[in-house]
Amino acid sequence: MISSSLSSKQRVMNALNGMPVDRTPAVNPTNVATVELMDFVDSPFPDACQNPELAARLAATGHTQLGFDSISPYFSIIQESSALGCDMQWEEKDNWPTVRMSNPIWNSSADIKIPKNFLNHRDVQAITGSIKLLKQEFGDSVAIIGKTMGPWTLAYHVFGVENFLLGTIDNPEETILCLEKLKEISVLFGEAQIDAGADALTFPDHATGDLVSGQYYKNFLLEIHQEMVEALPVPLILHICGQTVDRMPYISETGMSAFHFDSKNDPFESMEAVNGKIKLVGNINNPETLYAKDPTTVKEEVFKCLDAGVQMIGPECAVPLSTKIQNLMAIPEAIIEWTQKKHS
Amino acid sequence: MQSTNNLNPTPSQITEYFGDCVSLFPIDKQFNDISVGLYLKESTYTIWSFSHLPKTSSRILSICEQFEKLLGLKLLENSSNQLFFECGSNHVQPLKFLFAQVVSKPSDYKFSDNQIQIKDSKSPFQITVENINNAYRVNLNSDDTKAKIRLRMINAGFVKYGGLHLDENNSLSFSCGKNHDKLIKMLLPYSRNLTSIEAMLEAESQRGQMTTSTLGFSQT
Repeated sequence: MISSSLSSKQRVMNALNGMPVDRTPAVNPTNVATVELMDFVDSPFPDACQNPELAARLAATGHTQLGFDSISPYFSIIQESSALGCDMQWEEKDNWPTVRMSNPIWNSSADIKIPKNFLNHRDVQAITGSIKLLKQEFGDSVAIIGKTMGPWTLAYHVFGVENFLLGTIDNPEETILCLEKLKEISVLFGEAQIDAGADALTFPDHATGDLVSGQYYKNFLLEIHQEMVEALPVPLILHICGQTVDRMPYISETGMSAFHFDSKNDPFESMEAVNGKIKLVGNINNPETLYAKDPTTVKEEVFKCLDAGVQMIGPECAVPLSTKIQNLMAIPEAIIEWTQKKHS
Repeated sequence: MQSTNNLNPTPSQITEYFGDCVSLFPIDKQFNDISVGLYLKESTYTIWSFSHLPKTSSRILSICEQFEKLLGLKLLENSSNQLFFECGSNHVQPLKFLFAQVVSKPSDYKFSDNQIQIKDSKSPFQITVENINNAYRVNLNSDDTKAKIRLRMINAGFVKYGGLHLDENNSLSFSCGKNHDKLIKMLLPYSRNLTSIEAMLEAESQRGQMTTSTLGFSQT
């Protein structure tokens, strides 16, 4: 703890880098946009996922209206996949755009080709352009967090979940080849966001506990994630949904700055699992707490994370789009209350 | 980058003025896909949208009029978006549930008659609800076993969605003990069909959620 008051950006960057903070930052590595905030700034989905001005305007509300210490303009997980040519379902304002994974675009590593105009694609420019706008608006006062999808998630999108997972059993060498080629997209898009002004990057790679074991993580992804730390010279926040305690000891060996973890993992147990080798960010429950309960319940979960020593507090994943704003505002409020109580 | 419009109240001002949002309707198909929230502070409900689209206030007023007509609330004097129950209670449970049902109905929707009755969706029976000194009694035009089972289910629906109290004589009542025939009339079609309504609510709650399941990243 340091006595002077930090800017939101300094607070986040210090927490990511393991340096002292005046209070625990409220961080949103994924998304805190809701339908009400979309109306507030006239930036509805799916347009806000396709237009840099709208993306920046909507993302900024996470800081200006909700009080988070960071801003994240990449709301979904599909921007790169859209630019690669995946079959998209853009949905309406109240639902997430998705990739139709039942209609994959590629069959094998030989098919993987990064389109020449990848960085100029509308849905890639929506993110890099929004980061530039946010940097112009907020300078160094707030941490701008970009996002680049890891090769495992990209593989689900371009090959289909079932095809890709069956391939890990039938032909693991081919799987590794696919991941090696797909990781170039992660690097390309990550670098573009850093050039645009991103202070940190979230790196979602959905090797989730629901589908694959911790050993899979070690065999297929640990080394690639370690390489990403070298390739992308900003703090990286790995994001994997679901139960992940079994792979946290491996995750803590990646060298990434933080791990964004799900509420399926107890914060105390998770802190023990990573053993101080990586910072944790999370893990306020979305479907039950933020979506369906009240600020008091949200604050109880925040207090639990703070008591466990979780270094950055935020929703476990992209928040449901119909989340009530009072529940989101309760996260930074609870951090301030906890800090004041601790030091009174 | 165009920042927020300084002339419009911010989310924190709205929660300060109008209290917490008790129910949020994410996409109003009757009016330009705006979101509409039902906020409650003390005993005043406020219907609010952050949308800046022209005629949003007219749409909000039209929802308020439906609240008066279909649910029996009263508009506050000189207000076009704030309502209250004359009984003094808030009846949060039925309003939380019925908000979405009212907003999604056409703005000229009205009850077809004054009777509280409907054809059962799962049996050949006619369901009627009788108001006896503000205690509500559900009747089916049969005494057979199936009718008794259906009666139990319909009463359970009123308890679940309406927050009514069911006594040992199968009489239902609101906590305020007052007449709320309109709420009963609105709740009846949903109370008769618990399984379908639960499925509908579950589907609504999954929409807009990003989970391993909705992303297709989990076993089904």
